[in-house]
Amino acid sequence: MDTPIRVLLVGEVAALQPTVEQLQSTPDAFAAPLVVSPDSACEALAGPPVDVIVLDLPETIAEGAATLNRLRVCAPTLPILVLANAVDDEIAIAALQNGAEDYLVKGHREGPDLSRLIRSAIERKRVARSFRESEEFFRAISENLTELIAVIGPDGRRLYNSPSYRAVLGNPSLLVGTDSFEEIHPEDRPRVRAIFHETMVTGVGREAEFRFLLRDGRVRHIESRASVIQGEQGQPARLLVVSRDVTERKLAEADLREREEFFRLISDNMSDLVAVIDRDGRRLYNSPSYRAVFGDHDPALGSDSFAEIHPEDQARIRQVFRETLATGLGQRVIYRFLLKNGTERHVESLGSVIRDETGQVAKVVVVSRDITERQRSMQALRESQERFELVLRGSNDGIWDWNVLTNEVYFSPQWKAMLGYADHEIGNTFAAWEQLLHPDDRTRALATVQDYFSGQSPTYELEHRLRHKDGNYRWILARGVALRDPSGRPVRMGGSHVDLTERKAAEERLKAINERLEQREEELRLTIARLSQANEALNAAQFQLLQAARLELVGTLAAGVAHQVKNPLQTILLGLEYLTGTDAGKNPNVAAVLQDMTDAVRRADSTVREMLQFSSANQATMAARDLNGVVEDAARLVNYELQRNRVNLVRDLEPGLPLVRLDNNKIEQALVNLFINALHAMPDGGTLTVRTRRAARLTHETGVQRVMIQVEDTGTGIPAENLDKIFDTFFTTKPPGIGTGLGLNVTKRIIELHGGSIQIENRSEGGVRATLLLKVGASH
Amino acid sequence: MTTPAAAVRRILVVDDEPALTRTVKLVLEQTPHYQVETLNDPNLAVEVARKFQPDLILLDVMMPGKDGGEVAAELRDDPLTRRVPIVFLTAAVQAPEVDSRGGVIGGFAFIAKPVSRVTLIQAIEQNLPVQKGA
Repeated sequence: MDTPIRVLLVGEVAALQPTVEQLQSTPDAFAAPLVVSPDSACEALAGPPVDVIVLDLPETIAEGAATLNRLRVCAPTLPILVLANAVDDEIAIAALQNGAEDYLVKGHREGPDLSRLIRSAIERKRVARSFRESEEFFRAISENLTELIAVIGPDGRRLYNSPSYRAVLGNPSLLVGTDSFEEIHPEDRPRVRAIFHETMVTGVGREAEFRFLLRDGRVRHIESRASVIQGEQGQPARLLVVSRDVTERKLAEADLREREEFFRLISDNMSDLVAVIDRDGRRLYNSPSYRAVFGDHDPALGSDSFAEIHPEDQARIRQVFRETLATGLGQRVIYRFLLKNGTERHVESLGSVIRDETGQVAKVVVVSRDITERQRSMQALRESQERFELVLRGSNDGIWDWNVLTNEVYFSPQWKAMLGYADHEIGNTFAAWEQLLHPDDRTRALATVQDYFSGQSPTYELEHRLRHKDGNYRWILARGVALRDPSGRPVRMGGSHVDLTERKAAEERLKAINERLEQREEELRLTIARLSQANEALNAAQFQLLQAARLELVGTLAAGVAHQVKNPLQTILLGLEYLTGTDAGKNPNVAAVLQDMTDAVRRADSTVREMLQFSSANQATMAARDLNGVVEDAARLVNYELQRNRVNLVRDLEPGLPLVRLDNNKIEQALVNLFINALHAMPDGGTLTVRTRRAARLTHETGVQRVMIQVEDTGTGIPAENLDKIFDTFFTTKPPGIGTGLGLNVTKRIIELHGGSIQIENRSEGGVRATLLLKVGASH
Repeated sequence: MTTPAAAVRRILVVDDEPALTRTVKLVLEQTPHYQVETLNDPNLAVEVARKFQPDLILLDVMMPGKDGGEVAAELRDDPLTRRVPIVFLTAAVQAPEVDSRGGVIGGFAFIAKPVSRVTLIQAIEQNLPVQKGA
């Protein structure tokens, strides 16, 4: 206040003279005022500084307004006072509206009033400026902060919202008077309302987190801190709420959490081993999969991550780790873990670096995979491949690999060499094979492929001929396997070729040799068969000869014996009869002895007779005869014996039988033997039936007619156990002296000599039936 | 050479076995009807027959030196013996064979040894020529 106030007077000099004088009356307070015209006012303002402008208002409002505006532009911060010529409210108000601080009427308030007005205007302007500046500052803060600042009345209505609200709730000026809880998410609203009321009661501000649910449905996460603005009596009057939109942070946090979870899940669940290692090689993290490899001895966090590595591999892996730290570039390495139990696991690892803020490598993430099994199977595969290649090289097989879809075929050099071609001389197509096919094999070869493709044959194996470069054909054995798509359609087929030509030739030679051998064998077999036949014939002949010789001998013997025996018998018999007729024969005892002796002679005679029959049963003299006549003759021979034994003879003879070629003596003999046997079977008498019949024609012997003779008795029959022995030589059931056991045997031989048959059976009604069949017209 | 006993017939028995010829002679001569001369050497058969002039000759077939057939042929060739009936008494044929041929084989009467006295006498009687004056 000590500095004199510098006043710029704008207007007519003359009109302002009183004012100049008035100001100069207090020289301590005011410096000498400068008077300028309105047009040069701005020029003057550019000169020495002034503290206040006093304008002598022109006559019109418009003029005054223009001048005021001009002055305000030139000196926006200086207070302007206007001097009005009369009390004219209209002009004064207009001046105030155009930026004047105050006004006074000339003549009325001059003097001390002017001085006081000027001082007041300056002070007001200074305060206003100072206030404006602090408001500017506050607004600048409020408008440039991202924080949301709101002032809320005790009823919850908004009194002020900072411009930053625009980004969240729209134009802040429109928010004034609205309910501050309206936009809060319904789920959060009761809680926030409760905090608000509590704050209003206690006067202690609190922090709150809630969400805005915007009209467009978006959700914004908000963090707030409230402060209470107290009223005149110290009561909580309003609430200053400073809020921050933390939606982005919340989302980022959620996103981070998710991503962390995601990576944790990956590392937890993958079979690969994931470890995080610090620069010193210590373990910071092991994925759970470490347990799968190490079991309960999985490496502890903080331990040296090289401890588990096989000693032989440790130095190498440490070097790799150092290089990774230095270059920031991971390397793929394969090494071994040595487990506590002594087993080795092969692992493949790749490190990646994590850098800190300064860009330095801070950690290394190592992802490892247990490749022990892979190593093993790789090794097995390698060995198997090597074996396969060895086999291929050693076997001389040709290899082919046919893409069925494109008909491209890979033929190995050996495949081509087999046919005399160099590698480049045969194209790699299916057609190349077809062209080499022997024309005669073509249909069969293609059918074999087709059968295999259609699944009709489970394997592909084809022997076929392919043309060699030299023009000859080679026999080739092709074998192969197809790969099929899921529908079973073959897409690729591979296999081998083996040259069978030599084998085929050898087979042919072998076959020829075999055939010759077989031929020889057949010849040999035939020879053997013929020999064997001849041998049999010889044996038979020998047997027959032997038999004949034996029979001849028997015959000769029998004849000799008969002669030698019969003569003595004759002598004895007649001698006995002579003695019987003498006196001695009249003695009863002698007579009995003589009779016994006579019987003995007759038995001896009978034996001799049978022996002769037996020996002569093999030769016959055949002639066509009436069988009934032969039967009658035989019956006559035994007639006496039959009557003596009270046996009734029944003849049942079919008349008009065809003639049969036979030896009538022999047939008579056979019949007499049967009659005698029948007789002996009926010691107490009975019936002997002899029957002849034309036998039924047998279908399998067309043209051969037979006649049948049956001899039946009503005797004791033949015990079952003897039935199969009755034709045996010397078999007899008769007491000694009655039979020699030759009779039936002789009978059978006689019938067989005639080409006939004899059958003897027990009759169901008792007794025995002998059935003889003789061929009509048969001859021997 | 007539014999007074007209009923007695002269029988010559030719057989190489003396025992047999003797028993035949004994048996036949037990009856009053036969006078029997025996001969054991067939070679002498014709000579003895010419001398004995039998009414019937019983001739064995199988004999050493000469068989019955030859002897019979010689007897047939001699005018003095030509008409004497011959009955073969033989072990070479069987009784049934002889029977079935009615006692005749090849025109000759046959008796199969051994023969009983009855059969022997029957055969002799059947073949003896009808007695003169009987």
